Amino acid sequence: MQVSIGERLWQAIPTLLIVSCLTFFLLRALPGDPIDIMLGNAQKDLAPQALDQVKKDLGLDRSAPEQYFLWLASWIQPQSDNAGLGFSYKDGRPVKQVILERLPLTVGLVALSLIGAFTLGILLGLLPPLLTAMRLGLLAESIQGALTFLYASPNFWLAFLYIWYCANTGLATPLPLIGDLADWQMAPLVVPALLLGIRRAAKIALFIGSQMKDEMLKPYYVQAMAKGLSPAQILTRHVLKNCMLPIIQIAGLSLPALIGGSVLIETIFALPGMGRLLIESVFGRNYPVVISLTVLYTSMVIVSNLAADIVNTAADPRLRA
Amino acid sequence: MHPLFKSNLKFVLGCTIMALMCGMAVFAAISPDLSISTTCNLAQANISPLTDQRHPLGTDGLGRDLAAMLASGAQGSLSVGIFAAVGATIFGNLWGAIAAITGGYAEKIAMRIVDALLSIPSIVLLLFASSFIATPEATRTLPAALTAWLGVTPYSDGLLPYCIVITTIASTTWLESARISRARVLGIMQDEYYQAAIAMGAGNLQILSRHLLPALRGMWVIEATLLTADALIMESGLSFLGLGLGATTPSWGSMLQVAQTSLLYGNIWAAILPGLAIALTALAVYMLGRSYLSLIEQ
Repeated sequence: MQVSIGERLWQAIPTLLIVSCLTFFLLRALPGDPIDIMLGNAQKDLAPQALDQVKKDLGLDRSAPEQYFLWLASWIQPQSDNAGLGFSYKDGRPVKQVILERLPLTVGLVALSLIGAFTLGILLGLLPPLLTAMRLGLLAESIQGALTFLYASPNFWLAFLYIWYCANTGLATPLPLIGDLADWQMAPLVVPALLLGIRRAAKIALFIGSQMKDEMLKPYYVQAMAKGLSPAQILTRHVLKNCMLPIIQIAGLSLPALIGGSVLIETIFALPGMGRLLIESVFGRNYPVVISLTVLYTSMVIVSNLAADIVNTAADPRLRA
Repeated sequence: MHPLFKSNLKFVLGCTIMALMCGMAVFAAISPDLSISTTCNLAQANISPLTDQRHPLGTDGLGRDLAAMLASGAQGSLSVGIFAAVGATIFGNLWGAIAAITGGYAEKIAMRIVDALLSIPSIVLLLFASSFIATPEATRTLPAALTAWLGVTPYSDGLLPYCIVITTIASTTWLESARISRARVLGIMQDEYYQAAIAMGAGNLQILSRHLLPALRGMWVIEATLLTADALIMESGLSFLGLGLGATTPSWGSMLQVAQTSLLYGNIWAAILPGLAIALTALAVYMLGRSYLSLIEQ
């Protein structure tokens, strides 16, 4: 086990290299010039020498491969100041600082939605098999249908309806301010996080439902029934445990989707998170910020996959040998 | 009667919804005066449904008839969903199957690429590629033959937005099918009929087309249906950010983007209807996939 964790972390390095390389060159292939976007019409009034100086300050006077290797080198060289990841084109602040400001919100949002999706998904997933076992098949079917509908609806649309509902009933929408986030106050993030995780929750619930359907045909289920255990007991004590492994895998793999969703949810609720930063930076061709964000996102995904594997090994004795 | 129809409510319901949506898209394609109803007319903005005879479903914040918009949006959303899913399934399955039968270093490299791409959140790639549509001057850098073929003129982007969005979505969704098909093919390679085909001297191409692809057929349908729904939702998300099919090509996602401002005037229907269209279509596609699954499991 120890070996495989080390091996996986080692394997992450080429992955991150491929990802950063791809991002770097794709980004530069995009139409639009960061200097055009930064200076706009003011570019005309600027002397050519000044323009060259701006280019030089941003490191844009070098060729793209050269820029990439300089960026890579900034990882290896120990930096005394904050310059490790370069400076944002937009305001000249260190990229590290710009990202760290936005990090708590997105991490909180994604973590809350992952926890929410997992708990809600298991609870909702248990409901239809339980109702089936209690011979309330019709109710189980309709819950299954509602879950499929939730899974099929875009979560930003549900967020729309939520905002409209709040506006109409005069319900205050508690949305976080930047000050709160510095203190890691997560309470106002709960509703956006739930809206972000609701599709995942529905997916997990549907998956549990179909897994349990298969498990309920197995002899141990019939035997537990014959012993006189209540359906709730059988499902939570015996069947759920047997369905957990693939669910842990799904939870680990859901991070890319949640990160993608967080961009939309942050846009709708106007939350100052990394997703907003990513969009602003892609639109503004803010190369240093985009590439750092991509590498950060990718490492988050790699770590979450690894965590899912570790949890899986802990949960499944067969993998430990 | 076909066994699919027999007591299979899901299949009938799924077919009905899909037929309705496709019908709308076809209607939008052949109806000549639809563009009049989808032209902005601020004098008639934010009409509620069932209050005006000329606009049965009301209008959005820009005064465009919602029924007409839904129909022309169906064209954009459905074609993106279906083509992206079919493209991703075909490419992913071929990639995985070819990797599996080639083996050796080629397989390792091919699957490592898949792993690397899987760990980039697809939103990053989607944002990149869609930026091409958001910057019209980029279209002028394309070869003239290509733009002529796609019908790009100074007044219209023609088929270009479709091509870009479909390619983008497909290029981020084919990875999972590549993995699954590789695993399946590795399984099939243990089967006797595969060994027999090898022993009879069949070439790689023949094995692929005669033995492997037909064996994977059931899986293809399921993957394609799941991906269609996903692609539909992805497209709506991109359009909502202003990056999808662009301003000149209506889709349900861009309707939702406009609906954001309509909401300020209390016009909830402009938001409910396109979202409902997306959700119902995705639901119908799922139901079709599931009923096909239960058919092949029997």
